[in-house]
Amino acid sequence: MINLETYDTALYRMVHLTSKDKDAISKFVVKNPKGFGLQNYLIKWSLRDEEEGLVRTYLIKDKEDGSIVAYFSLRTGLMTQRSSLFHFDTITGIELANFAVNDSYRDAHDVMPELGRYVFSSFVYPLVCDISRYVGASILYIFSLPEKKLMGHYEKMGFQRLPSKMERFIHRHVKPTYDRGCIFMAQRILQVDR
Amino acid sequence: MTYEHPRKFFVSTRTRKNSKLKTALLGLNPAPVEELRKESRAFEKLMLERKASKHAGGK
Repeated sequence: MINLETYDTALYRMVHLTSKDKDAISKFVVKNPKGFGLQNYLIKWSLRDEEEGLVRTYLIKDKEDGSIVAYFSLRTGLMTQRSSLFHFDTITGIELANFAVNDSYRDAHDVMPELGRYVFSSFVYPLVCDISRYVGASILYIFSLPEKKLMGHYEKMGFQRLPSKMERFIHRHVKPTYDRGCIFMAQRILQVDR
Repeated sequence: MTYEHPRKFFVSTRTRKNSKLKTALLGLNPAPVEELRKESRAFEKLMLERKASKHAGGK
């Protein structure tokens, strides 16, 4: 079993979302109107998806005052691809299904803009690497909002776009309706010591 | 791993072209771990300094 306390940093800790967090997540704010779905998901759908085992959501909390800094959700995914007339190859992956920083925390705590990358490198990436030790997963992928600035942040985290034809194939075959208009970006998962 | 397809189906040119997808996905680069770690350490240091100065100012 993965002990989430081992991911603690000097500033924040990661907890698995539970019904006890219901009031706290209701105050989560994403200011960007295009990112409203991320706020809506956490508040309205995340607990239901947890109960059904569809998605696992993690909250990043400030160690000092316990307020929610950010959240992210993970789920497994499978890309299928025909390899011959009668066979399909499968490419296993983990989808970073939701990833958002709490703008109300950012405003109240005078946080530097690199907060998202800090959360990714301190919590998301190490957790994904640990999961991939237990469950085979070749790639970590995300459907990003189609915004240059945001995609630039994801590129700094190591996510890359595919050549346009492959990107179109992914968008037509595996992109959820929830991510309509979003762009597929992915990175290889490597086994690394953290 | 391969799975047998239950029924025969039409093979289009587009599908054959997509056979490159697996190669492309597995050929992607991993996250720039060292760079991210370095940036995280700097972020953490500055945030801790800010917190410390805030506490000192509040005394």
